[in-house]
Amino acid sequence: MQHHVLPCKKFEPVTPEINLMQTDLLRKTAPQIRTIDSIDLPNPTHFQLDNGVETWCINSGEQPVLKIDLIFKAGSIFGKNPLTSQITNLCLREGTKSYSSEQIAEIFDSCGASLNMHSNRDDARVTLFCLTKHLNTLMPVLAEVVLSPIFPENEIKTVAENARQDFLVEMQKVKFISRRNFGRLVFGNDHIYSRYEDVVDYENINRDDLLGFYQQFYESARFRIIASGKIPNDIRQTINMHFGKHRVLEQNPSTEGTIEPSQTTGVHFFEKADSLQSGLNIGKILFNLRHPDYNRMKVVSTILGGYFGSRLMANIREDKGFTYGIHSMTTSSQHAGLFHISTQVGTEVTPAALEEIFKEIELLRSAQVKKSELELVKNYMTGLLQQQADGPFAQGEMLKAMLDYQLDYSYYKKYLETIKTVTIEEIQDLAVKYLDPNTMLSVVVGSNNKR
Amino acid sequence: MVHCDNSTPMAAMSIIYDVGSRDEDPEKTGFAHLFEHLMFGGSVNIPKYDEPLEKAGGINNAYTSNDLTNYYLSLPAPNIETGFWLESDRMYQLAFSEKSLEVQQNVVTEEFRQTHLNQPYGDAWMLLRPLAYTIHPYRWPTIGKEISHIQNAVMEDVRAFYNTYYNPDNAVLAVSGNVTTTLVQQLAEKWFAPIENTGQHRRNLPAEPVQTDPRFLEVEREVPADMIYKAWKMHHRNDPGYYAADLLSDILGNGKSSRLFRRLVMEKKVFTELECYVTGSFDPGLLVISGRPSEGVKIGDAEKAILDEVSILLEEKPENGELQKVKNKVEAHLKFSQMNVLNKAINLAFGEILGDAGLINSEFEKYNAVTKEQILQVAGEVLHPSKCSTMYYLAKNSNR
Repeated sequence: MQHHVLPCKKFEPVTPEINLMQTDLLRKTAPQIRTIDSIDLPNPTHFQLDNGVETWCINSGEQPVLKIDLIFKAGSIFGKNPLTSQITNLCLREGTKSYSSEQIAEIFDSCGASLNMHSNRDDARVTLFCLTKHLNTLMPVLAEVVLSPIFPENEIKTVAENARQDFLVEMQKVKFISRRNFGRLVFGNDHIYSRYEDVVDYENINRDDLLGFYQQFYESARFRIIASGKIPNDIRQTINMHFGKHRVLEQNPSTEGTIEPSQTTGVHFFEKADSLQSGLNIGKILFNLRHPDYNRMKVVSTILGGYFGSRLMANIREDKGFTYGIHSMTTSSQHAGLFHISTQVGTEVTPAALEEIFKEIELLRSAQVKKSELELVKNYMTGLLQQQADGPFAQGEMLKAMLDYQLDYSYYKKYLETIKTVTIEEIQDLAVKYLDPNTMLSVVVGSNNKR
Repeated sequence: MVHCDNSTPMAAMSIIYDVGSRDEDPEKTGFAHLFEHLMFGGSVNIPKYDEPLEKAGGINNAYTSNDLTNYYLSLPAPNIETGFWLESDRMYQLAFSEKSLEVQQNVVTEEFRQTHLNQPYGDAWMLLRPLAYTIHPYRWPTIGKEISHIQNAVMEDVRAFYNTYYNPDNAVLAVSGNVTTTLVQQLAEKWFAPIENTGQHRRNLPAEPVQTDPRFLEVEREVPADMIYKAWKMHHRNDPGYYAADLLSDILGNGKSSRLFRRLVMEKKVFTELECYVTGSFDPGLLVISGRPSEGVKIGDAEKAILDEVSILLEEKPENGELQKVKNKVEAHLKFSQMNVLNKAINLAFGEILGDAGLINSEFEKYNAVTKEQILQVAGEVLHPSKCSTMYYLAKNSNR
């Protein structure tokens, strides 16, 4: 087996010019700033395991720690019960052929490691965080969790019941209810992304479904591995030994159900008795990052509500004091993308807040953004990209986001280029084209008796 | 304090003021946190704090705790001077805008609602604190005792607070990232050295008397399930006993292999959620066990199940392996907490305000030195029934 010495990036220390004159006048003037022209991401090492599983390694950072991410196409869109994906994912660590739930917990805790399970609509992930020195102890157990789980009845019951109780608590929060109802209405009932769980779904969880889901979407499924952090030189051999030997299918099964959204528009109110705040979600179906306008729309959305000094924050929070926070964003999933504003505002100011939000949307459409404002947003977004690339785990996440769309790090170069070149005219054109208030859905969850 | 790290193109800054909600007037609670919001309302030479930072590609935030107020930012390293300029100007002279005060009173009111009043169990700590503390200012939460305290704040209070606490000799500054010590020193001299102290404060907080009897509170709320909270008085953050007590809490409740989780959630199914943690406060703090009993389990029985686990720790030393396990968890946790420049800056500043910036390097040794005999001893000191405050937070109409 070939042993790689993986590259590790270093940066030159900065030496900005400092004006050492000390006068109070100096305080009036901002220090010189440098804008970011390029983003430096460490080149990942890429290889295939014996069974064809694709693996990427990012060797960077100062701490002797490591993250191993196993990413399966096993999100909620693949299950009939909206919870099957999540509970299957959670139960992987609740017992395997060689280890009980308790032993697994004990082994990871003993190394101070954590084994995180996470699933969303598209993916399910199993993530190991550990000190690099413990990798060889933990890899066999990690492999068992993913390749030989037994889904014991007793543990399944406990996991499902605890999750049900968490769900009941979440259902008391206007933020949660609003997000759910927005999701249902924005995609339409039949869409694969509007499969939200209800209490009854927790009660219907059973071992056969989990096992069936596991066999279809994990056991011989094609998955991806991303390792990031302080990576040992024999990583390829180690990963291959544990994850490269079982048979993996060429093609994963696809999801059943429609990916054509049928979005509702208008304002939809849902009562939450005696609530002191209303949970607001406003937005529409847009497109995901495969669309040529995606990055430019990110700039539009950032101007509107994507940073602390944004228009929505400046108006709804910093001028009116209606809320603790308000955000707008564009989000991208495999089969759809959204433009989306969310906030919680005082019950009594809910109508006024809605009015102001739409005023801000209209303003983006009716008037050009000032050059200085666009300049600031461009600098902010490029700076943010560099922030997001700080540290090996963050770099791993950035890579994952790209792989989801069969892209690579070169995407970020284009992203940076788009941000730097977008014009004030384009911003307005995009707002006119995509942010027509008549096409928007507004969901309000709150109390009517106090309004 | 400076930490140079050339594995990153970023730099970060953390500035901690030695003031928290424990320094507040009992009739004007929530003020330290409200004031933190006002620090973003502009300084005398810079009308908007955020704008120049965003222009320099930076992000920032702040938090207030019972003990301290931390302002932090990170940005591309070549723009680090922007951070010095911004932070020094608001230490130099705040703008004291009436509009900012009025708006932030409303913003904090909404924050109060969002985080404490309009959330299931959101007011639990507003109830638990005054049960556990009778005279020490930890008896109110950072957000404040009640919304009226926020609404009643006036500009005179703001000025007085600023002059008393927002002084160079009441703050520490840490910079981390792709910088050199020489550069940071020059910038610190340039921007912070000319700022004069405008006031002085000597902390003289009432010490909480030793608790000699168990305390109990029962409340009913519109929540889906009961919760139980048990809070024991424990050591302050700088007390040598703190490390043993923290490890004790880890043995009980940190992670899926911890005693409480394993026995009471996975095996006996008495709880659907159960944790144990310490507040880690600078004055004597709390070791807390909080949990959500399973449907159909009486809260008294759930409490007894907790006490049974506690009594085992009072009688038997933990096994070597179990102690080593929680130490390993601490070791990993400390390493993971130094993954980016911002955390490093914050950890350095936090250590220094506690008395020793070197804590970032020496803290693991303090945990590692704890013996199983000390765990047994500290369990006896802390987990004593007379030092416990218990709250039953009951679901209205539940079938208990």
